[in-house]
Amino acid sequence: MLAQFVEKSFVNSRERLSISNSGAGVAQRDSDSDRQIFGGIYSRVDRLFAVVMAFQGIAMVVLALWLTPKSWSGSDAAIHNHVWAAVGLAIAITTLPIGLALAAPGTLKTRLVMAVSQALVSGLLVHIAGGRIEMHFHIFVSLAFLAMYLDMKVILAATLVIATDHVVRGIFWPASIYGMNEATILRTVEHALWVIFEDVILGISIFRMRAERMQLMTAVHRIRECVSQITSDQSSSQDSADFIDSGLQLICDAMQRMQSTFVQVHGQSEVLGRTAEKVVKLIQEGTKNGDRSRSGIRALRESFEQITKAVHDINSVAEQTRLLSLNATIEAARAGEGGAGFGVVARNVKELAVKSGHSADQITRLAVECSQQSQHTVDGLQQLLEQLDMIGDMIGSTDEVIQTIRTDLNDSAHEAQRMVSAFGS
Amino acid sequence: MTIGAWALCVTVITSLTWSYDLTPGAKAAVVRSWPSETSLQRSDDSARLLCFLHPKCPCSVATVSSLKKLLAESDSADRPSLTFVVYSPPGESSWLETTICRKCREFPDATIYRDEDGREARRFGSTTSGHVLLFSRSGQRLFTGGLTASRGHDGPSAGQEALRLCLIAGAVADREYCVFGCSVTSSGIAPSNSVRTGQIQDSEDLRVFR
Repeated sequence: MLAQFVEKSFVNSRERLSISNSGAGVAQRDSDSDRQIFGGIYSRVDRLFAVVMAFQGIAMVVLALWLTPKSWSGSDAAIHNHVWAAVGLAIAITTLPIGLALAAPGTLKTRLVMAVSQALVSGLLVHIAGGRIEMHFHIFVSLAFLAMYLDMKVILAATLVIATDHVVRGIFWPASIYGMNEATILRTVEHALWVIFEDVILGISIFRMRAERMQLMTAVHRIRECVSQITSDQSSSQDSADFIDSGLQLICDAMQRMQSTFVQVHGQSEVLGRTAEKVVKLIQEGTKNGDRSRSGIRALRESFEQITKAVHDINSVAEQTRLLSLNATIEAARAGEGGAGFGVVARNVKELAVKSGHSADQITRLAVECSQQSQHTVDGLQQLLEQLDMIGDMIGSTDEVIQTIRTDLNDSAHEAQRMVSAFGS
Repeated sequence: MTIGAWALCVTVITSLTWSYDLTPGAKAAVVRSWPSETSLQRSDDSARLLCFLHPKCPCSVATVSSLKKLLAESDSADRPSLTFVVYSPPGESSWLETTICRKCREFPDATIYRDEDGREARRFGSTTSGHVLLFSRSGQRLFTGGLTASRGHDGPSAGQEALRLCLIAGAVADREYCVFGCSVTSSGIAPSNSVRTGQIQDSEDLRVFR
């Protein structure tokens, strides 16, 4: 099951790889569309310049109101013509670019009008400042701002207007553009060279940024293609998800079974441990009983030895009795007829002494055998006790192993439970 | 079509603005010698330089700045006595506390004359703020005209160059130079009804005499 799952995942990955390779061709075709790639930038910069234009228009009027608010004829005042000119030019210059930025953002026409308007604002500000060289900074700043379009046509349009303004005013009204009445053509060339220098730098930057933008858009297009393909293969992905889910369910079931097995083994090990403890206790009790039995047998053996001594004494008495009966027989024989009855008694006594001696010998033999048997029993009991001690030690070692197994099984059961919970969630 | 109309509109308004900036004040009959009826005192010790100003004319600030540069270049021994003839409505002394008047007070040894209702301006034939007149010790007019090339534009101009020659070399300008500014008389002639030079003359129109 797991192998099937891995194989299916590999197939899906391979299919996605082939999709991403085909996306490069689509992005290459779309790279021809300038608007598709740079349209967003054009529109954003159009809106930005609409705000800048409005700000510049207001600034022109405010500047005129501050510098030349009124014209005077004696004590009579009127709004200065510069104020009306600022209002008129602010409206005239900024209305069309702002309107185009709102109505047709992102078009070439809007960009070019914006560039021309910005150049006109620069020219007007230079004129208002009386040709102060510092105000020419506005031209270079404007070109840098216009570079945000990433369109060299915009830079060239603004440059054309700026150049025309410089040439015309440089010839007919140099004080308005350079702040002096006698400006040579070299001054115009000097200004033009600075503008051309900035245009070249901006052109290089725009070229590189356009290339980077195209690469970025190609990558984005590839990602979108992949996302689209993934969306279209949603059913396949759903099958994969179901397959993964069933695989996980199987793993979960197996883990649950393994967990129950762990629990069972853990319970059995507990029973085994308790049994081992009981066996150890029984062995210890048996050892104690064996010791007691061995002591009893030793006491029995001593009793047999005392019996043997007593029988020996009996045997001595029987021998003395037999000798005494012999003497009595001899004396009876000497006494004659009168001693005949005594002789009969002496013979009977002799016979009883002989029988007593035989019985004593038999008892002695039996006592020796019993003593020997008890010695064998003591020896066997000693071996048994030693073996019980060995068994007790082995069971003690086994109990330690069982404890270790129980701990491991307990940990494994908890781990299995955690995995089951994780898969289940 | 829209862009063409827009370009035309911008061009027209810009042209009107530039035309206004290049349009000088009304041309009037300026006296050729020191008038006898004036209240201003003439000195036999030095030449006399008069600068007629409207204290609230924004364009005349450039004239005062240009004059300051010119006088700084001339030798202090030959420097003429300078008088700023500042227009003031009858009974209005507060008009002498404007930015232009403060700049005028920065000139060493300069006199500020309060020209009530522009009477002295009329006596000298001056109609426009920024009008500069230079008289010799004998009272002969050496220079008349403005020092700026257009309205409010500081910097080199034909009038400045002519006055420089008058101050340094004792030359006399035989023509008037355009003056750009407000009217210094309450009954000043409007520019639209005046005779306009419309052209900036250069220093070749000067003749030198000793």
